[in-house]
Amino acid sequence: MTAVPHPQIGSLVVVSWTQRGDLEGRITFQEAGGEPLQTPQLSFVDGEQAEVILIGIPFETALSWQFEGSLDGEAATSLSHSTTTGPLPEGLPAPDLLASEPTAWADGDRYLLSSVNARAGGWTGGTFWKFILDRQGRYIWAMETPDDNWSIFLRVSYDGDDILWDEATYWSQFDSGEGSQIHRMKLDGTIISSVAAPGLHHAFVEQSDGTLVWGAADLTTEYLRRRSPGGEAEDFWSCNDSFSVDYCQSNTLYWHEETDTFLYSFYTNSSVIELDQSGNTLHYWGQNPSWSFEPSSSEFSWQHGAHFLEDGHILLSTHTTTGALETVVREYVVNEETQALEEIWSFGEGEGIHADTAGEAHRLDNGNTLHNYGSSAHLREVNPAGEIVWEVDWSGNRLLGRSVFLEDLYNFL
Amino acid sequence: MRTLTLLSLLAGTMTLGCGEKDDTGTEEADADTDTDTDADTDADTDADSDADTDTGSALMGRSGTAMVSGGYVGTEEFYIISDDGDGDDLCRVSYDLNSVGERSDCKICDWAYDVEISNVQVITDTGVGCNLGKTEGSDIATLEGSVVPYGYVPEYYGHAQVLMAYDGAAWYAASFASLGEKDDFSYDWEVGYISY
Repeated sequence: MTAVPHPQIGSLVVVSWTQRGDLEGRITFQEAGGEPLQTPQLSFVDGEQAEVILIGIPFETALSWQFEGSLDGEAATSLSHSTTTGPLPEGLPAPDLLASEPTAWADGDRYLLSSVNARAGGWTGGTFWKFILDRQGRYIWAMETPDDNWSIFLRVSYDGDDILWDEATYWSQFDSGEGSQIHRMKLDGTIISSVAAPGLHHAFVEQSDGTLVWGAADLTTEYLRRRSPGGEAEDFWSCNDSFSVDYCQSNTLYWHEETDTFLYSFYTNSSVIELDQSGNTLHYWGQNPSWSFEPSSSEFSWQHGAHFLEDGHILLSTHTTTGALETVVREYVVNEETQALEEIWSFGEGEGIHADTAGEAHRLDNGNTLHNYGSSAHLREVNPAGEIVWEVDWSGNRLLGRSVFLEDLYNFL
Repeated sequence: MRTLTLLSLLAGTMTLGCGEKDDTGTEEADADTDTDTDADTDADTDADSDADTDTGSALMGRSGTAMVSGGYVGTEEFYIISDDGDGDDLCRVSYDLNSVGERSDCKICDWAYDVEISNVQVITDTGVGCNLGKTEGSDIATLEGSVVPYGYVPEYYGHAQVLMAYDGAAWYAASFASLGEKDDFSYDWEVGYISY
């Protein structure tokens, strides 16, 4: 058996051997003092060339591993082997773990998938890294996006089998996103598909049938554009038809499967709209005098990450509009009777953290909230009482992309 | 005084750049007169017009600084750097940039000027490098006295400071830029990647 770091992603260990006899079982592995990890159930027949990837160990870390299972129907355990993962990629900025309360985390929120610009400077050019952190704030997976193109909206595919990542050229080549693509990838770097997404500059979603939808900007306006698998790109909404603004650009797109509608957030006029698949506007919040905010100080300002929660509330990250300029989380009830967005929960006021650009918030399964501070390169998980239970910071104003927790990394291999 | 658009000065690099690699097909699928599958007329299999087969990729760009108080007074370096920008200079040329006229056709710009290139000095020329720039549309021999339009947008789409350039028909965002409180302006415009 040989075990070597993966040639492209050094934190992965590739174990390979020629199988003698029929083998079933798992490889268990762990770093010194670390939590035991294991592969899914494996099965190899006599003579088969076996290859298994170990994932979940940080870069530059020694680990031990062994096979446990059965050989030709008899219980069998291999000798314990040891190896070391590859070096941390050069240029990948290291985060600091500032707070950690493991008992307050949901079991499934084990790893964090996101991206970060290696270069500080807020919304600026540089090298974007896609990464996965463990809860100790250590990189256990990282991949550079080529040619200084931008990856800021990573997500899990609808079927849960792949990572979808953007390779946007809008801000790297200043080509109005003509060269932008969305990739479907396994964590070993295998590209399953690459889809041209012209105009993509920030956000995209995948629907249940595999259709990709993204905000497509040119120099004057923005379109909502979609492409079904194997189909042509088509526009089904235009900003110029909806807003009376000089220019128009979005920062979030969310597909609400239950109603088959989109929440579409625009920083350019501090508004969020809900659209159907025909491009009809169902709701318009923000700079719409027909809807108010309760209290008025909770109105949107450079809001990001707007999405519906299971109970129909809207959760997002936004700048404050009164007092010190800060980036905060707000949760609203959508009151159709009074035509008001009623804030029922918030976090971040008085914390003194402000991000010039980007950001988002996610409600986690255990009721906690993950606040991504965007270009402040800061992440906080807080419980409903607003107590910080996890906090990671990259220092400086590096741009942090969309972030999402993962439970089982083997789903993506 | 000649007015060159960025397309004629550099932009061949924008279409040929961005990581074009050698083709490896076995069938002659192009319309030219040679025996390879690329679109040029030489005998090799790469996309440029020289006779060798490309083995590397270089970053081509231009970085500059200027004072922009009531005009544009600065310098710029045109560069081609091997190994996608991580290696050695293959070509580096410096020159002065001075405004010779104000432009009013960049509607979103805080300022825009026609800037004239002068005092062209070759700092590094490995032979490969600056010839490469020439074949990609950036002939340093023609830089002296040419004019390029530059502009500045302080918050391009609300996000960032940007250097604007003009392609002969329209203004476009060229690269991120920085304008300091003392009217000191800087940028590093990575035009694209070229094979060599």
